[in-house]
Amino acid sequence: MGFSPLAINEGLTVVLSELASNDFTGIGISMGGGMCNICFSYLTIPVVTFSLQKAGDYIDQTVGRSVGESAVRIKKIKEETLNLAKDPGNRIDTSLHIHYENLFNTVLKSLQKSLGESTNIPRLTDGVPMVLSGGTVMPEGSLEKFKKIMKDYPLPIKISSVRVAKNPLYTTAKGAWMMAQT
Amino acid sequence: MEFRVAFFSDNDIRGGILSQTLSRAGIEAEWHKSPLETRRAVERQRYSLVILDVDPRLPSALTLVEALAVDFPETQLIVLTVAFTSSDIKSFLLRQGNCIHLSGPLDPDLLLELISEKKRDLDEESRRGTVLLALKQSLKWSRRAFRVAFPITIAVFFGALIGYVYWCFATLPDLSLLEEYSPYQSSKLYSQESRLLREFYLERRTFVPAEDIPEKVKNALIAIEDNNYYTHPGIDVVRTLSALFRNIHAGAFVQGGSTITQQLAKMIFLEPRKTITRKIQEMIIALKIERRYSKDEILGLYLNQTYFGTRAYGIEAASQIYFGKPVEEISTAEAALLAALPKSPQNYSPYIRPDWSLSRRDHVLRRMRDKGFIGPDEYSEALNVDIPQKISGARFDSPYFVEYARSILKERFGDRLYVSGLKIFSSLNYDMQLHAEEAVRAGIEALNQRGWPGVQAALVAVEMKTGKIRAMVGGSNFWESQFNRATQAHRQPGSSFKPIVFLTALNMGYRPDDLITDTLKTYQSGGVSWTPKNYGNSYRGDVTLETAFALSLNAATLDLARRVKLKNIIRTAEDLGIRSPVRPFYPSTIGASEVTLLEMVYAYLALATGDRFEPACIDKIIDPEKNILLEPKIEKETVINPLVLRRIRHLLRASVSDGTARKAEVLDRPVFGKTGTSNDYADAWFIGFDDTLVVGVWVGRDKRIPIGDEETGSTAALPIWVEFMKNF
Repeated sequence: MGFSPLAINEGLTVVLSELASNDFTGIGISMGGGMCNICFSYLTIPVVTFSLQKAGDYIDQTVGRSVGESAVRIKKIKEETLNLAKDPGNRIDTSLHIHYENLFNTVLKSLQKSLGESTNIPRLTDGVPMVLSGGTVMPEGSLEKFKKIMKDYPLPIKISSVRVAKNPLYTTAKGAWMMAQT
Repeated sequence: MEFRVAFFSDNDIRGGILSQTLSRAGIEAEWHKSPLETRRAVERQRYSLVILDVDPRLPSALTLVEALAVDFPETQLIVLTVAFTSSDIKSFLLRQGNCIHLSGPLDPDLLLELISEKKRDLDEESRRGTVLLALKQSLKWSRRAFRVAFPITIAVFFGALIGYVYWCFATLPDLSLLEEYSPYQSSKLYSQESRLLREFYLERRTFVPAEDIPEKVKNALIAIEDNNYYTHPGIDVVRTLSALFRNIHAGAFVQGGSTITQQLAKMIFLEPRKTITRKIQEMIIALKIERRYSKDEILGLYLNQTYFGTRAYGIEAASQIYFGKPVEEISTAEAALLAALPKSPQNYSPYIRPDWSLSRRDHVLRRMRDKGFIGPDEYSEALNVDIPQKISGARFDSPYFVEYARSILKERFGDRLYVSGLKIFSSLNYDMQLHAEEAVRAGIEALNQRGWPGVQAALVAVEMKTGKIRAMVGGSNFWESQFNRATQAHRQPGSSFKPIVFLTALNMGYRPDDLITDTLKTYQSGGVSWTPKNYGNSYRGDVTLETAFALSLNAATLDLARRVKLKNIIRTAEDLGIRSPVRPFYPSTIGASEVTLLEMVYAYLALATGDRFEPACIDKIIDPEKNILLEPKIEKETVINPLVLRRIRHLLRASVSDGTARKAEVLDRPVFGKTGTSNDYADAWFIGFDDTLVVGVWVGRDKRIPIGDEETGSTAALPIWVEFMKNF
């Protein structure tokens, strides 16, 4: 059809979509259904990128298995009523809290390791922003939980702010579209 | 003058960061990704500034830096390196007036600051040039030229003198480089049992801490190189003056007055060129080194750094090369010989000039006795020790396997393999390897005795549980021919390919007792008529798959191939891991398409286990900091279902119990396999397995001519296989 496809990490699309005001420098994390995709970008260059095969679907399935419910029902609860900022009210909420914590721990531990091992990271005088995106970070309180867990994983670069993308479900598409424009 | 910038980086990420950083600052810079391209561009464009982002462990990168620094002194260089920069390159960069060296993470702000500083310098220089030109013009026409020029000349002379002294001090390198001292280290390849197989190195060097170097080595060195080592402060004034007078008297450089510390300073920090400036700097550095380090530490650094000839850098490598043992085990006579070498490794080499070498070794021993380092008895005893006559370890064990592993490691690590000090634990089982070499030797000897000299053979043994190579022989003599016939020779597998045809049929639902037709028949293949014949030219009519397989009937196999279709047979071969192309013609079904022995052994591994494994020869790689750099997991994929697996194993068993491989029945356990013989008896194969090992043997000549009259897989290859397998 005349198109030349170009594969880019979803984390980079989050940076392209959300961090234009910061010269496209920062960390983009896309937490979707099947995978978490993470990218540290410096002026659009994906300096560190990696993916984890653990995300929203994993939470639905493991919570479903642990409480004897279907993954579909868990997904519905997760999307409609879950509030990670409040104490869990029942065993499904409790299990969701545990598995969200587990996911965030995995993401941050891997990020700490990947950044620590890379010899390509430039020396930065200022901190860089971090943006979370994707359906998995949409439940209320997920940002607060993420920030809380982040304290346990000091990163080798300074983080100036952590926020959720303006429109987490469309961030990736917008970033990919921006990349295609170039 | 136009300020033109370019940069070199072969790392896409660091290069990308540089490119974006410069572009964002409004600096146009060309990105070159190979050293050669960079050098050519600098020659052509004459850039004002070139940024070199290099990995200092790679010789090609260092060569680029050195070439640009020396050949283009007018071009300013900024050299960026990650960690592990050796003191050699650091001291080299420090000596170059046109080099700035930044190590560690890329620092965009600092880099931009340096670039703008250089740009300012260039503009300033350009302006100064204009002013100077105007001044010269005016002086030319001035009647007071002489009155102005004279005091200027005097001022310039004294200014230059003061400047020179200041410059000598100012350009001294930073002594802290010694603390970061990290010479290139060789990587070592071990067998499964941690037996050293081979070192890979550019400079053969193994670092030994000062405290582990025996006193006799230190004493020998002091006795011959620096008698007053423990009493002077870094320079030996009396010796220096005496050397100076002798040299003046002789009218040539006949004696050096350098102490060990001065020699260390010269080796690590300075150029070998003999100039007064270098000599003054050498003395200053030696004094500074002595103030900072103990005598023992200095000796340790010297002995680890110095060159002992035969590509041996450092005392440990020298001990291994000359005597084949670690330095801690050497005798007094051996220590004396090593101490004799640094002065002139070529002239005093025991291999090149044994008489000179012996004489200097004895001179060292005499000095050791005179200094009281050894007694008269030890002295007399040491004098009677012969000097080595051949290089220890020049030949190495398991050479075909070692070279195979090296080529794989080189692909993965590039030049880093030779400089990173890795410990590589291979999958080779040394005992098994010895049995493999012996079996191949005996097989070749038997062929010789039957009147067929000049035949080659190869053997590969793979462990069934892990898929790892435990033994490999690639020919009859590596030192005569390094061509590895196990991994590099593409040869026709003959009937040893047939299991792939029968597996295709079993996959499609055929059973071992189904009937196929064994009659003389002509096939059209690739536009050519072809009539496959059986061995012995006899045909059995309807036969079961089992009989056709066991007796290796060509006509029946072709009948089966026709039924299951060529494209399915080719797909089965690919599923089993055959990477060499199997040509889509009928002769391929009885082994006319060339493959390697290694491919065939892994295909049989799949026939034995149902799983396709990736060839593997490395167990673990550890870096000098003892981190595990690589520990490959077993990579396998199931390609044969359990029912079909049982049936194909049944056929491979029948080939041994009732077929062409009956000789393997001498082993006291059930074994499975298939013989193979190519056209005109040019290749003989047997590939088979028991319950732990899959082993393949190929026999043939490098030129595709017959091995000998009627030498088949059964007579030439199978005996080697049996000889090997009977050890386990």
